[in-house]
Amino acid sequence: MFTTICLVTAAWSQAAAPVSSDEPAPVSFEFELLPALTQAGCNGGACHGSPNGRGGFAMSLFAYDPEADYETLVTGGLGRRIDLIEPGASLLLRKPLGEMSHGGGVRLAEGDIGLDIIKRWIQEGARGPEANGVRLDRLEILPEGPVLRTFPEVEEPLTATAYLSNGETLDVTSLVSWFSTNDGIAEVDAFGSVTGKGRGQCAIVARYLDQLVSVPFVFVQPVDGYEWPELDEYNFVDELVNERLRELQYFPMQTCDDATFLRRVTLDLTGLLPEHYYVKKFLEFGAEDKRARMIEQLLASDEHAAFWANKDADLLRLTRANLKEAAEPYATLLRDSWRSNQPYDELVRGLLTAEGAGAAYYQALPDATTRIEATTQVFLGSRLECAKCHNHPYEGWTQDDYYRIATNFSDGVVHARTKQGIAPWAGETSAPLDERRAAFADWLTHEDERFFARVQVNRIWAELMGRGIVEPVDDFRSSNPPSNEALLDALAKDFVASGYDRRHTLRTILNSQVYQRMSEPRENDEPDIELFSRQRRRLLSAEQISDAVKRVASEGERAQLIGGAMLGRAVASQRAREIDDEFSDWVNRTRASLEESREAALGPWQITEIFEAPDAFEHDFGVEEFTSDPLGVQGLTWTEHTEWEDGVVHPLKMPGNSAVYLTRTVRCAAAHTLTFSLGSDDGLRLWVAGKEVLTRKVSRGAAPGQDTVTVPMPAGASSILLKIWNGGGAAGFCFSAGEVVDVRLMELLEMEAGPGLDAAQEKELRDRHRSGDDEWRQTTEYLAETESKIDRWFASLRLVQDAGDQKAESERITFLRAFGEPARATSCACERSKEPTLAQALQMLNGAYVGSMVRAAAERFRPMRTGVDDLYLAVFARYPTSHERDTVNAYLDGGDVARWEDLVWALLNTQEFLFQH
Amino acid sequence: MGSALAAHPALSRSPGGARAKAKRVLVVFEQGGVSQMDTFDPKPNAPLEHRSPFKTIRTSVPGMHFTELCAKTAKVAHELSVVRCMTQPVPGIGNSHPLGSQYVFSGADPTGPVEMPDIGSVVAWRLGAGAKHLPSNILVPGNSEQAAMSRLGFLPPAVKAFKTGGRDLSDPKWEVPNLGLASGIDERRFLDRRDLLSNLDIGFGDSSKGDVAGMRAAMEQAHDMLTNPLTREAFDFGTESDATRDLYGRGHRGQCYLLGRKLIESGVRYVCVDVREPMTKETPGGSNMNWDHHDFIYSEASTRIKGGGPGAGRFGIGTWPMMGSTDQAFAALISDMRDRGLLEDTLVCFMTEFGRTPKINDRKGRDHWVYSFTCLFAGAGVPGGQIVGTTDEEGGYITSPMAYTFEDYAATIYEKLGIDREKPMHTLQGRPVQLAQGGMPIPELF
Repeated sequence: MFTTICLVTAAWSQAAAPVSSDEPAPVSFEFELLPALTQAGCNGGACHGSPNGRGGFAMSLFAYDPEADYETLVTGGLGRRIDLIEPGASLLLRKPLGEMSHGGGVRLAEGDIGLDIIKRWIQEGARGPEANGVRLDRLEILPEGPVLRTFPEVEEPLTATAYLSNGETLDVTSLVSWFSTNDGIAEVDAFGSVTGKGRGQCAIVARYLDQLVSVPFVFVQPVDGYEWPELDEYNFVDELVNERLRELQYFPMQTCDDATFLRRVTLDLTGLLPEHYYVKKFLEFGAEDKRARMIEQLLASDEHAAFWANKDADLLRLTRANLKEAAEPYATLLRDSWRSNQPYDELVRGLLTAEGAGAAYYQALPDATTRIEATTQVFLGSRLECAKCHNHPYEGWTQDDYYRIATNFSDGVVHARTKQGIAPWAGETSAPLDERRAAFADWLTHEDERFFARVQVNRIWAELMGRGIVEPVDDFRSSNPPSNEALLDALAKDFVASGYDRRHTLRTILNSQVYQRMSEPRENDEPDIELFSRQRRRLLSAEQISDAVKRVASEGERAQLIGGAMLGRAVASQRAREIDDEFSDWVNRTRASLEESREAALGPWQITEIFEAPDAFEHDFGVEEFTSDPLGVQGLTWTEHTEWEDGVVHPLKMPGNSAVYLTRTVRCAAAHTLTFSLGSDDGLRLWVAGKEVLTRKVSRGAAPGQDTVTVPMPAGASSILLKIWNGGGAAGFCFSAGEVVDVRLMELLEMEAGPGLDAAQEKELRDRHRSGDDEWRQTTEYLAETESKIDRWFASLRLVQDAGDQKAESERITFLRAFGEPARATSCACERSKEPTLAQALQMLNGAYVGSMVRAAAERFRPMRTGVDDLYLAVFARYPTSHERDTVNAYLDGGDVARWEDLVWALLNTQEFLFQH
Repeated sequence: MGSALAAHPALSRSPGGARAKAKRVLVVFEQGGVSQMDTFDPKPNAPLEHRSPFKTIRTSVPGMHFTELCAKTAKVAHELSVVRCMTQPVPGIGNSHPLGSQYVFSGADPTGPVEMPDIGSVVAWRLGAGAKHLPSNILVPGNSEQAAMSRLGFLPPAVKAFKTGGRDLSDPKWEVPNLGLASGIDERRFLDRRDLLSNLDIGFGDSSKGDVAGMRAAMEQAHDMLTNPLTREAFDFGTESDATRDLYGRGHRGQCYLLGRKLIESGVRYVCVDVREPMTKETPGGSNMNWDHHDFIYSEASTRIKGGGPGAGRFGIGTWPMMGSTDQAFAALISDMRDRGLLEDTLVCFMTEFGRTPKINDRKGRDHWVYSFTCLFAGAGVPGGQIVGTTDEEGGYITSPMAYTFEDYAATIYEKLGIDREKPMHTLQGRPVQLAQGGMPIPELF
């Protein structure tokens, strides 16, 4: 049956040609028929373009696979879709015309261009895809936009032109599928005619085969009595946001008060509430630039590094479950990157090329599919997973692009349609995997690249403003334009110019008036949604709210540690300054006392191999010619023995008639005499500073003090050379020379007097000086311990989630989950749920975690003299109003603990606490 | 399985209307793969060496037969549609317990490109809560071996299946954790607190829009749940008579089925009962007591018998912890719901992820069988006393022209509830996803 139809089709196609010149050209399957079906909605994702198709009829989504579609149309459905003998009986016409029952309803009507195309195509014999390889190169929509119109304005016609690979152009205005990204702002009809519907901006998008082009539209509606208020502008962010607001006639909000600012910025940068005593200090602090100073202080904090590294870890799927022992080093790498303000391109390059702990990047993304999808979503802000099975329905990414990028990340990638390998997106096909990865990193972080910087600044913006300039933040595509393109471009440019300095971008946004705007909507004014006329009220994130509740209850271990470290650093550096004032005195004093003491400082022993000879005692073995510099003797191997103490016998393993040489340096602060005391088994010879000072050819067992010799020493370093001879049996030696002093200290002092110290040596010498001070030493030890605790805490960052065997921990985890903490199963920012839910309300009103924190907080604030004020400062970062104070005091009524608990509970359940504002 | 696609005169395009007879759904999911020929599709003429030892008996419906293990259910057969032509069309998909269970929970291919939400989550999301003081989608108790295969997919957390927990619901100490007020907070004090809160929760400006309003609404609902006596009553067996509790059977399974009925009666939109009998001193040798009878399926006690394999540790299908308690509880559920008028607008489904081999293996057990198995339906306009589909002499292959899948099962639920399957759901990335993924409502159930 199928075979017959194929034959008929082929015969018909040949019979249809040639076409005389005044007749229209036959319908092109690819460039006319398929677009007509797309326009009628046939191959959309909810209809026949879905994986299962509809009613047993499945086409490729938006016609990405013309060959398969042709097959399906002509031979599928038992051949009833196309009836070449009686075209009007074709299901392809009868169903969408409503002549037969059709799940998708009536899609075509008489007079539609699409209907005409389908009819003609069948009449002409249902010709197949072009065999000549002509492809669509480009789709052009005119005007390109942005189009700015004063609303209400009636119609704006757009035109669409297709440029083919053979140089032909087609007017496809009535063949493309037009749609508006926001029908409330503008609508577009089938012929590309745009009608404004409301104030605001949107994009009109045209789809034609695998091309998608959009035109931004802005509709302005004059608002009665609109006047731009007086407002500070601090930097380019303000200028660009305000420009847009003025254009669309929205009112900007004024700057928020100090308390609101402090709570907002602390939550945004560290995820924590400011401590109540900190709030007090900040509100009292009079400096003009105190907000900027607070921003700097928070940016430099470890808590900021941890909180923002956690955001990275969400996207990079960092969990102990999937990374095992690689999890902690990876977390440390991400945190240190924030701590040291590592350039972002450098960080990403390290991840993509699997450098050091960054190798965990690929470990967290185990297969080719997740690698490409995560990498493109995180760094390109594009959701490519659609293109695995079909061309991306709303973006220019094709299935080919998908497999080319996949080839950059994995070996053995096979294209789903062609079943073959494909050239990588960046770099050479023949390059090994690590080079292909590096090539992609090069392409990605190249300065001109439009995605990389824009995606990152947009993410930062969204974290601080509650909404991206492109929203969702990882959905960059032409049909989802930024709400303020100039702003996004300027931030991206500034980011690149700063050397991908994330802290710089944060600082720029945080110091703008836009960031510091009030969050309350203006009365009787419909607020804009995406132009940033005010701050957004955002439900605290899972970690923020969990930590906030905990911080009200107690200062918290983290706060204490970090507070302790800060204090420790301050005390240590203050004490160091005081000590350092006496540094040069101390140097001179120390040197003088060393010179006077007649002490020597000895370096560690070094020993040669064993030499055998019948006359080993007399034989010089080529060593004794160089007694002033034994280490310089060619061909000798010296082994160091730092563990050999002076004054005790060290046995040596030597055969009979053998000798061995030992050497070490001796330092004297000044020229003086020095007494050496020796023992040996059997004989010995001793040279000091190149001169032989002792010779004993005896046969004996070694013991301390068998021989002594006093030698005049020069100032500075000299060599000692000792030869031990064994006649037979056991062997060994013993040595001492006065009292031993700190050889390194003498070295440093010598350099200080002579060639001078480098920075590290200078620090070493100063620390030796400081360590004589008890206070400095204790503070430094405390600091080291605290910092290592902080390090351990950082390393366990967000990995505690799967260590929940303790009750309190599991309560906290239940709480975090309820508030949308992601399981890190995807690379989508959307995995973190931000919607209020019943489970959250139950947790806040009745949960075990909140319950225990409420009790702790009541205990903490009740005994305080200004407990109510302090509690308000801790919860809201502000003082209570007089009304609130009255209400609270009436309720407390002298105050047993239960009443205080009720108060804490009530404050934690207010909207003002639960939201960032 | 062309039948799912076959046009049927009863099929109507319009959702709602006369076909949408259900307001709520109660699913009994007996996990592990219930043997069809030992229960609802008896095969008395199968070759002796593979024949079930249980006698074929009459039911209340002439011409409909069960085995003697279903004697009590046989008495309510006139309320049931017995669908003997359930099948998994792609054996590789749900032949394992985890994926098979996920298939039952979601009614969609568990290996597809998008992780699909449970039917219960879709229902809750589309229809909202049936009773404001209770969750809209509940798993009772949500701790069967494969309960972790319950999925939320791309839907919001609010419609995630709420698991009551409880390894033995017949234990008098059993209660749902965190449902009542936290200890030390009585209702009087809670109301005091709320009063204080409403006095202090002011001055945050307009809260009629967006997330602020959403949180306020959630707070109100949570408050209602915590203080409404109906919430606790819905989970309180104390409100049931001894006679009723006895009717269902006093063990874990009977009380789970009873709780399912209670929650439906309280207005919960979607309840799924997933029982696994607990180990007690009455069940020595039992370990994972689900229906996965690879070994000694006809054992009169534990199947932990020398020579056993992967199915050891169950109890034989004819024992009380298995078909004994199931027959009693299910028959009780149907008659009790009928007597209370709940079958009028509640769809009841008895599901399992697959059937068992018609042949008995060398460990005297039956292995997984996806080609045909039996599920039961009742209520909400499902015709009673009906057999749908036939299988061959051994119960291995479907011989009727129709055969139905879990996608069809899902479509049946959506259609009964009046949920428009034509309206797609969207993933977080905006990909449209079809409800029931190409499944069609089982026409005989309408």
